[in-house]
Amino acid sequence: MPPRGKFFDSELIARLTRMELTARRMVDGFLSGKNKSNRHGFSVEFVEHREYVPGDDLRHLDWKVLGRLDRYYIKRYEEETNITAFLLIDSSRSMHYGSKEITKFEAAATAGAGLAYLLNRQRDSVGMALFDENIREYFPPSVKLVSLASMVAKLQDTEPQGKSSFTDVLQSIAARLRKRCLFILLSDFFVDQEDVEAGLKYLHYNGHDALVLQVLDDAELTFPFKNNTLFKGMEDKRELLTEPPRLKDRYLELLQEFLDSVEKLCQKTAFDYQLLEAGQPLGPALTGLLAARARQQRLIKRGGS
Amino acid sequence: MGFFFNPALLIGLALAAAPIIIHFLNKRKFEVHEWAAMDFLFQASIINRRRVKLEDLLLLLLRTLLIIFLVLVVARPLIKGLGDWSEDQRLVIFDDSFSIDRRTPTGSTFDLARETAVNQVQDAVGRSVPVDIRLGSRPHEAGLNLGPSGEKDSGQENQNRDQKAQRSWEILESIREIQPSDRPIELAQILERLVEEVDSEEASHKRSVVLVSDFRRVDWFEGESSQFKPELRAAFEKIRDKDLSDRLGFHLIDLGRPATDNVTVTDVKISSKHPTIGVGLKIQVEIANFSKTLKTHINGSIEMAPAQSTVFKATKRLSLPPVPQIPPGERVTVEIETKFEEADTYLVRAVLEEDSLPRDDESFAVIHVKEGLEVLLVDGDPSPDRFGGEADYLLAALSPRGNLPSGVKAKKISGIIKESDLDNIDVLFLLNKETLQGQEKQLVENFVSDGGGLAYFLGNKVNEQNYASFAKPPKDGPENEVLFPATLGKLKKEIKGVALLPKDMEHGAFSIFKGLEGSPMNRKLFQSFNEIAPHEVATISASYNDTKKTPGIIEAPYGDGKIAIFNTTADRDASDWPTDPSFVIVLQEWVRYLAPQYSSKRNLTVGEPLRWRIRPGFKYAVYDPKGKRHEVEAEETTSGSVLKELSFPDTALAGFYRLEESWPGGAQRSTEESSNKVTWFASRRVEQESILTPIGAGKLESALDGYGIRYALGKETKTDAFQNEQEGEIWRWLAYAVGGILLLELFLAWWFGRK
Repeated sequence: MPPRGKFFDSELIARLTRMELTARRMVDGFLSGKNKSNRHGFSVEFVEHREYVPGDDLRHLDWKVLGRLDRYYIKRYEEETNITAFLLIDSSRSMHYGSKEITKFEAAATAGAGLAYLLNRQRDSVGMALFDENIREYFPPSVKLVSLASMVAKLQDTEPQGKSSFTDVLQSIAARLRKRCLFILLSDFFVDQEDVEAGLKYLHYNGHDALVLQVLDDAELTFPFKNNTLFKGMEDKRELLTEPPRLKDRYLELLQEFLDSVEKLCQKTAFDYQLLEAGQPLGPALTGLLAARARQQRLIKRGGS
Repeated sequence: MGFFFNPALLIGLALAAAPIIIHFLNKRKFEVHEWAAMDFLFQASIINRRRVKLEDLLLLLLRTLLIIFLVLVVARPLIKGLGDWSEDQRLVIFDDSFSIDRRTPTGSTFDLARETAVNQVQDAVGRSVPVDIRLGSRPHEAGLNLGPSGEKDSGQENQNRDQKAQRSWEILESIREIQPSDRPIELAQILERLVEEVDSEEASHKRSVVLVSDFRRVDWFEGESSQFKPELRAAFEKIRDKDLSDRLGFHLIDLGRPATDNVTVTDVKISSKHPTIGVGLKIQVEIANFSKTLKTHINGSIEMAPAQSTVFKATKRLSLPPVPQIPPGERVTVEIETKFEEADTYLVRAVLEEDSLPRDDESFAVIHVKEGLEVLLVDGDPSPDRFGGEADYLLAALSPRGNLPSGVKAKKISGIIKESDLDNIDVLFLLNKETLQGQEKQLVENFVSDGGGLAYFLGNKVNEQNYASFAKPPKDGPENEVLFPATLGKLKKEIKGVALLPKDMEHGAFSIFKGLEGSPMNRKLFQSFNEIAPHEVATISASYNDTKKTPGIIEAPYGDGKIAIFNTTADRDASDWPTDPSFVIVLQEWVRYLAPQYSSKRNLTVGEPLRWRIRPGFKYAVYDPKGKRHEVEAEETTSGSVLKELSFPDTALAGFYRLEESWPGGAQRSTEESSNKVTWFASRRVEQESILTPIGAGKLESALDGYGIRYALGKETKTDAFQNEQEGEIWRWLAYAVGGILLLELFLAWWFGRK
C-alpha cells in the first residue's frame, strides 16, 4: 500500500506500477535490484558459461551441463543492484502558479511522489531535495517506506517561495551522494538558461542519469488572457500592464523557443525530457516516458549481448 | 459666410476627445494576475512595443476621425469651389456712372469695364447661358435691349449656332457703343428690380449677376459709416427675407483704383435772380477739392455762348480768378462780374484744367437775360386824368422816367385781359378790377400756375361776389386750388391812419429795409382797408398796426407762381402810400419777389426730368448735348386742368438741352405765334460722383455678411470666378468617408487583435 497523502494519485500510481523505472545507464546500487551493476560476479542473474579452470569456486559449477555434456563449465552471473534515485523538486515561487485546480508545484509533487513510490516498490532507494536558490529540504536515499512517507509529508507542508538556482544545488547534492544516481528533476526551469545548462552538464559529466520533467501550467502554454491585465512577477517585483492578445503570438513563440532549448539540452546530455502540464492527468505523460525508457533499455541490452 | 449649414452642431466636435478618453480609461481598467514567465512577457512586450504603439495610435486616429467626420456630416460644411450652383441666366450690370471714366496712364477704367463686360458676354455665350446687360445708371430701363443671347442647344444646332453668333455679335457691338453716363449708379433700384424679377420666376431658376463697377464708398455706404444706405439695406433684406439668396449669385468685379486727386466744379450760378440787360451781375463758380491732399494753383475759365446756335459754341471766354489753394474736402467759390447787353438766353460753361476725372472738371448753366421784368397793370378804374386812374401811381413807381434802368418794364391796360396781353409777362397786377370773367379767369389761373406772379390791389369797384367765387374753396376741397387766398370782409376806416408793418424783415420784398432806422413803412398812411381773413395756405406778409392787426398783405403759392393780395388801393382812395417814396421801393421789390426765376427752372441735375409748360397745338422736340433729337409728347400735369406740360426724363448727360417748339401748320396762327421758339436747359452732374474713395473689399464683405448673399468679390476679370467661388456641400463625401473609416477601423482592430 502506498503511503497516504494528497500527492499520491491512485490512478497515477496504478499506471506507474505497470511500468518499471530502470536506469538506462548503469548506475551503482547498494541493494540488489533491477538495475545492473557494472561489477560482474556471482549473483542471481545468469549471464554466460565458461570453462572451468582450477581455482574456480565449485559453487558456481553448472552441474546440469556436466551431467549432460560431461564437461566443466562455470556459470557467470551479472550482479543486480538498486537504483539510487534522487528527486529534485523546484520549490521556488514560480512553481506556485496554477491557473486551474493545482499549481505547478503540486503537479510536480504528485509526479515525484508517484515515481518515488514506484522506485520504492522496486526496492530502489529514493532520496529527495526541495530547492529554490538553496536546498530547502534534503532526504537521503532510502529504500524504507517510512522515508518515502516523510518525503511526501514534507511535500504537503511546503509552500513554494524564493527564486530557483540549479548549478549550485545540483553540485551540492551530487557531492553529498558520492555515487552515480538517477536524478529526477521537476521544475518549470524559469531560470537563467545558462544555469540550467551548467547544472545538467555537471550531472552528465559526473556519470549521472537524469529524467528532466518540465512542469508548466496550461495558461503558461496557451496564454488565454483577453482583457487588459497587469502581470506581476512571482519571483521578483516586475510588473507589466498589457493587452494580452497583442502579445500572445510573440510570447508563445518565445516560450516554444525556451521549451525547445531545454529539450535540446537534454538531448545533448542524453537525459530524458518530458513536459508535464499542471492540471492535466500526469499518468499518460509519465508512462509514455517510462515506456520509452524501457524500449531503450531493451535496445541497449540487445546491443550489449 | 458661415462655413457650415448647421454651425451649432459643431459643438459635437467635443466628442472627438471620446476615443482618447476611452483609451485612457481602458488603460486604467485591468485585471491583476501573478505570473511566473515574466521574462517571456517582457521580451514579447519589448519586441511588440513599437508596433503596438503604432497600432494604438492608428486606431485612435481613425476613431477620432470617425467622430469628427460624423459631426461634420451633420454640420454640413460649405466649401468654396465645390458648389454645383449653375446659372440659368446671366445679368451683367454695367456701372456707366461717370466716376468710372477715370483716366490713368494705362487707359481709362471705363474701357476696362467695357472689356470686362465683353468677356462676360462671350463667356456666357460660350456656356450657352442667356445673357442680358443693364446699365447701372438706368435701373428701370431694359438696358441695351439685348435680351438673351445664348439659347440652350436643342435639335436645330446649326441654326441656333448662326443665331447665337449673330446675337452675340450684336451684343458685343452694343457694349462697345456704351458711353459713360453722367448719372450715378442706382444700386438700390437695380436690386429692387432684380428682387421683383427673381421672385416672380420659378424657384429653380438661377441668375448670376455680374456687377462691373468701380465700387466707390458713396455708392454703398451711409455717410462715413460702414453700413449700407437704408435703401440698399432694404433691398438686401428683401433678398434674405424672400429666401432668394440661393437663386441669385453676385459676381462683384471691382475695377476701382485707389483714390486719386480730384478737383471739380460743383456749381455755377448767378448773383441775380432776374438778370436784366445792362445790370451787372456776378457769375459764381464753386470748386471743390475731393482729394486727400491740398490742391494749389487751380485755374479755370468761363465760356459763354448765345442761344442762337443749335449747339454750344463758345463766343466769349473769361478767365476765373486763380485759386491759390483748396484744402482737402473743402470748397471755394470764385466769381467774375459781367454785364449782358442784349436780352437773350446765354449758355455758360465753367471749366477747370483737366485731372484724372475730366468729366467733372466742367459744369453748365443757362442764364436768361431779359430787358426787364415785364409787368402788366390791369386798371379796373381807369381815368383820363393825370394820376386819376387806378394804375397811374403804380406805373410811375415801376417804370420811372429817365435812362437809368430800373429792371422793370411795366405796361397798362384796362378792360378784358386777352391771352396775348400775358405774353412774356412776369407779374400781373389787378388793380381794383371789378370782376374776372369768362376766359379771363382761366388765363389768370394758367398764368399764375405756370409760374407768373399776381398782385391784387383791392378797391371800391371790386365785386364781392365775383371775388368770393375765386376765394371760396369748394366744400371740403383744398384751399390751394382757389386763386385768392383770403376772404374779404367789410370795409374799415381809420380816421387817424395806421401804418403797414412787415411781419418779417427777412421777407424777400422787405429785406431791402432791413436794419434801417425809421423805416418808411412806419408811417401812418392808411385810412381804410377791408377786414380780411387769410386761408390756411396763406401767410400774412404785412399787417396794419390797428387794434386788430388787420392783415395788409397776404400771399400764397398757386401752382408754380405766387399771389399777393394787397388790402388797400393802388391809388390814393384808401391811403397816401402811392405818393410815399416807400411805395416805389416796396412795389419794385414785390415785382422781383413775385416774378418767376427763369434761370433756376432751366438748370437741372442729371436725371432730373426736363419739364416745360406747352402751348396747345405745338410740337416739341428736345436736342440732347450730343445734338440727338428726341420727340416729346405733352402730358397733363394735374387732373381736371387744361394745363399741359412736357416731360423729358432722359437727361443722363450733363450739358445743354435745347427744347424746340414748332407749329405744325394747318390751323390759323399769326406769323409771330407760329414761329419756332427755342428754350435752353442746362443739366449738371451730381457732385457725389466726384468722390472717388473706394469702398474697400473688406468693408464690403463685412457689410454683406449679414444678409446671406451668395457672392464672389474680386478685381479679377476672369469669367468663371463666380463658379469657382461657389460654395458647395460635401456632407455626402464625408458620409462615404465615415463608412470607409469605420470599415478600416473594424478591419484593423480585428487584424491587430488577432496577432
